[in-house]
Amino acid sequence: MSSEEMHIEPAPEKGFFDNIFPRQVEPKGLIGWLTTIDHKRIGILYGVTALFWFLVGGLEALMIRIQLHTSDFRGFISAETYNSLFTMHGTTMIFLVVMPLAVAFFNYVMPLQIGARDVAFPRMNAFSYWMFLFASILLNISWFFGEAPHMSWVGYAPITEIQYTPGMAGEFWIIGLQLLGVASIVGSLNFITTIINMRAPGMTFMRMPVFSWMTLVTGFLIILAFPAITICLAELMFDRLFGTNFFQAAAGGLPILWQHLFWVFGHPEVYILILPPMGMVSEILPVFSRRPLFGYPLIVGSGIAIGLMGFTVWSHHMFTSGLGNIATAAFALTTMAIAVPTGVKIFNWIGTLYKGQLIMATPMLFSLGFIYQFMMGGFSGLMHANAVHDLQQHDSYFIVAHFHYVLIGGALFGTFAGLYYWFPKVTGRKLDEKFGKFVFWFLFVGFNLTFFPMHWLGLNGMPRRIYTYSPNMGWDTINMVCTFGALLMAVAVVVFFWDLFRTAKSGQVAGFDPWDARTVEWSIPNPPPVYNFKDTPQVKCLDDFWYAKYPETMVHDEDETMHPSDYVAADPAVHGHSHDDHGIHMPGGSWFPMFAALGFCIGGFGIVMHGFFIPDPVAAKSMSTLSILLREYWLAILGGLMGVASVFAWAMEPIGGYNIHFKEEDNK
Amino acid sequence: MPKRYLKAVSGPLSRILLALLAILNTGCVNEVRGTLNPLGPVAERQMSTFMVTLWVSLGMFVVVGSFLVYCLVKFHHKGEITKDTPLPDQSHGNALTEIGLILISVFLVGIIALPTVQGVFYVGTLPSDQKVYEVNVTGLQWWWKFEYPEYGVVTANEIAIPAGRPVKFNLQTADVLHSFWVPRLGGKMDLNPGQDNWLWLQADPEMLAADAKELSTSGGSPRWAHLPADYPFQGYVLYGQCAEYCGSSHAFMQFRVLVLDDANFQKWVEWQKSDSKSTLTAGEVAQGQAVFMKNKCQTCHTVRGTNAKGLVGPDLTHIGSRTSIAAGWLENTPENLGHWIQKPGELKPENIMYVTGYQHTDKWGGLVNNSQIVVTDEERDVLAKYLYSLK
Amino acid sequence: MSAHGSHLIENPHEIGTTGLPHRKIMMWLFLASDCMFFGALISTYLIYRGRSIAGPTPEEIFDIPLTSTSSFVLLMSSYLMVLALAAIERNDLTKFRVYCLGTAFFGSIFLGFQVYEFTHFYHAGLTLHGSVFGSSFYVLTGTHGCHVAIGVLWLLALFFYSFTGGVTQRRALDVEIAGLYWHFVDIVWIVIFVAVYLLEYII
Repeated sequence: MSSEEMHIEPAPEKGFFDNIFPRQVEPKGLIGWLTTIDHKRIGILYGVTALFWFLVGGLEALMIRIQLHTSDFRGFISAETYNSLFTMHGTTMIFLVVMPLAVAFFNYVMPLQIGARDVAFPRMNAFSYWMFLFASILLNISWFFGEAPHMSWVGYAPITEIQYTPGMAGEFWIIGLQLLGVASIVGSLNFITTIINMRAPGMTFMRMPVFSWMTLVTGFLIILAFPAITICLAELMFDRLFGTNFFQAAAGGLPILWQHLFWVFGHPEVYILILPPMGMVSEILPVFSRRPLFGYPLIVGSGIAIGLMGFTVWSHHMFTSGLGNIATAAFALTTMAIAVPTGVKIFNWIGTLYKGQLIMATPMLFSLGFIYQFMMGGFSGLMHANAVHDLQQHDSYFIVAHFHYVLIGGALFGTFAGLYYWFPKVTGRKLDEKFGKFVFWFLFVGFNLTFFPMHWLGLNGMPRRIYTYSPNMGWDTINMVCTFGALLMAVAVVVFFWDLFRTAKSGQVAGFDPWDARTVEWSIPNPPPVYNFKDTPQVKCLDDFWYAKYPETMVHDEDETMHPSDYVAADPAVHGHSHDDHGIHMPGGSWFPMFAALGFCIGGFGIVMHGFFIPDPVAAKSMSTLSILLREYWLAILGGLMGVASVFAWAMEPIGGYNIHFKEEDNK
Repeated sequence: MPKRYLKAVSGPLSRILLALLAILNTGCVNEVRGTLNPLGPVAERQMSTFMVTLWVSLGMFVVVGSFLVYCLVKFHHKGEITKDTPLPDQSHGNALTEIGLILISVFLVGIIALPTVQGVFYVGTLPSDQKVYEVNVTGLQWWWKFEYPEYGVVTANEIAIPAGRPVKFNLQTADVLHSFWVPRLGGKMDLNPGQDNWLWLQADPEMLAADAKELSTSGGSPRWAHLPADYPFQGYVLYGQCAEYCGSSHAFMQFRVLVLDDANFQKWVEWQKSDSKSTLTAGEVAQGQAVFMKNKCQTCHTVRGTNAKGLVGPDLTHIGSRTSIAAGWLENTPENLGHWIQKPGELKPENIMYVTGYQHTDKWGGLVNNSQIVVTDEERDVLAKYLYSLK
Repeated sequence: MSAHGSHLIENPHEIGTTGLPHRKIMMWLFLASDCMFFGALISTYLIYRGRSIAGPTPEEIFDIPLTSTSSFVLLMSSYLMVLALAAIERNDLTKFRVYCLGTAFFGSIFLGFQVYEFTHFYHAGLTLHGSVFGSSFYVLTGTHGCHVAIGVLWLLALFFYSFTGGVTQRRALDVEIAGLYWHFVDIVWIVIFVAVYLLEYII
């Protein structure tokens, strides 16, 4: 890494569109961000966008808590607004915060962990991001139309049907989720290909860091689970726009089908949300315990097992929908079975701490908070698996407590651990420890204060999604406690963001390998250069970077993954393990991923807006069906054409870019 | 066997838990009673299997949690880490420990699985050894219609069930999903369009009596236990609620369950079957009916024995006899009735009576002038008095 | 693939750890995902089978000989697709053009049959909003039709691109990936043909 001097030479190739929207060579400034295809920059974009929506979703949560702080509370917000708030809070936190935050880490960290220069399809990666950004905006501009979705985040048919939810709210929700689904699937195809095909020489699957493993499992879950929600959303959209009967009981449709399709997606989605933070925690615990992860193969194996079993348990969300005894019992059993691999993970994390040298830095604190809270969420999950009592827990605040333990206590704490851990990698600066601890303790206490009492509320009969409750229920005190806890969390979040901005601008410089870490992403400078690795790393074992630093700690035992003789020789002709005469080729930035995403999202907006363009019934009588459709959906068609044209332009683009040459003597 | 086994496991723990909850309850309201204070065999079975899960979870939590805390205390490294700090143990797993822990987890999950499967079949199977009463439940946005097919009784938002008898609820919805839930009698069941769901519940008289006694000694106001003093029968009131999100006024879709002994239940049935007898004079009744008709209430509501035969809204024949109005939300008093009649949108946003009948502003701020119904203060009082007299 | 494949790849950087090109791996992954799309749609169709309140019923309108013919044409197009790929791998551009256009043409014939069938069914009273059979049938077969249409456009694009030097032996991977997609769409049709059409005469 001695060379800071390098020579850059643009690639000569010119393409068809180069006069208007040329591929960018080393773009700077705003254009640089708009056309970027660098996985690190896209990771940052994902992270920043998701954190923004985190603030929005948090604000929605606070308003919900204020509304519920006491009984029969009216005049703050209307019931309709409240319904929109909890719908958008759920949708935002799941699809616009927890998932994209994980994707931010997939983007930034995973290629570095496996020793790759970028993801397999950099432009597709950019497309995923822009699609996510525009779709998230589309979903949220519904507030400005006064048509924010208010059918709850699960949107159980038939309340989403046109006769119960007229207006644009339904389309905003359907189209928003559909476009987000496209972004997720495209992104995951990319990540899986990257992991399968772009590992550095010697990086066998069983030498791959757990976070990359969880990226792989999550990727498979996304490509296999999202089609189910895409199809049920499409069916619902057809019901709403073209009068099909998929969820219309009067015509023989089965609204229950929505629940099945939704949860065939929805339950794997739960693991899509939790597996990446599990991976992050599995990276952080060994680093701050200064010893290897306990039972790496089992952690990986249980991650895969959870992913597979995640497809067999969806109906446990539907125990009250009249499944029948046999199905109820069967799904209760599969759900209990999934507790075993989940438990294995917790055991192994604690096994990592045992005999370690625990350093209580902020990432470690968040990871420990994750273990405790995820364990709590796991136990209440086991209680839901008890299908007999689940009839009591279902749709009560007990459920609300459970999934917030898993999603905030688990996923968000894990992600925060990851944020604190990899922040130096991204910015080159370390977040302040004092503020970090303050944020952790406020978040930890606030969180448990908000959500632990909700178990009690649920067991005492408080249903979820209620605007207010009657004073003689006796739920007032506990709800007040919950609201107070939420305010503590808000304080923590404000301090966190302040610290984030402060540090990004002028924080303590982290230097090289600030945590004494184990995986190869720390073997390069912070922040990494645009080409990541000057020389592709040659991976000899799991935790390669650690054993390069502490070769004496290598344990030679029956575990083959740790044995140096296990080194897999790489074929340099295939892998191009270091830069050759051509230097490192960096592809140029491209406009078209953004244009394509913008086109499709405008098209989606056109579908949402179709109601404005319906010709009046009198005029429509003299028009053909085709011309009515053309009028109604002109914006949708225009947007779609823009998207398709951009994809074609993208396909015709030259490779472009530039080559980086290092001074030869630096290698000597 | 299973029941005794359950009791043995759940007994002590439930007492500890209830004590904990009692601490939580101190200072707040004593009548808070939920799923952990069952009043019937279904809820009791559900609670006791829950206790098994809770027991196992708590055991694991204590063991695993203590070990976690032990690790945190014992292996916490204070002070700087330098190049000279000796590294800790560098082993990376132990096959025997891992397999052992997996086997223990499987065993513990098995402990929960057995009573769960047994419980699923108990809760999901109608008792076959005795007469099962039937109630047809229809959920509507946002109220409940109850029919007793055997007796030809139709009522709204309030049902009576005989104590100690299994009751089968046949669940249907007229619009979106709803969910029928009486926490103290048992778990909930969804009302799915196009699907015939059902649920059986039973109120246990001994449990009811014990619970009422406990409430009266603890000094709380037993609102959810006893019927009001002026009610013609003695009995208990339990609260129920829609538990599946069903739109704007989902929170306001409650109902009440009166638990009566066999004799009183039969009396109640006879009473509800007959036309209502107003306690007012003939003149007052005529005046009330005139206001009723003027505002076209009969388009949607039925008052048997009069010309009001609407089927859209709740049956009002015996509205004066009910303990609550507006789907369980308000106590039934002439004042509350009057308020509800005059300003239904204030209490239950977007309810059909309000949206189709009353002048109001829509969410865009525009005035929707459906004003078939304009209730003056004077009319409100007359109407409330009339309806309240329909016992 | 890695043994003989690298000379077919224009950009050797595209070959990764497994020795397979990235795009091929991604195409397989996409097809796995697409399986789930069709899985959800076919499930919907089968769940709604026999639940329609209004007619017409499947037996009343299905014309098995007609649909069998169009299915046969679609299957044969897969054969042409194989020949097209083999031609471009041999660097036989003329043959490639013939077979590629032939595949697209057979695909278009299938689409023509589908348009005819939809029109016929529509006049027989089966509409998108008339019954759940109509809804699930049109959306399922329509989605498949869209896949075929995209495939035809893709093949035509390759055909025209071959005149500008865009399709060469070194870029045979482009054709191979289009072929993967095309074969997949064919196989899905076999499933749909059995689950939708033939099922009425089996069970």
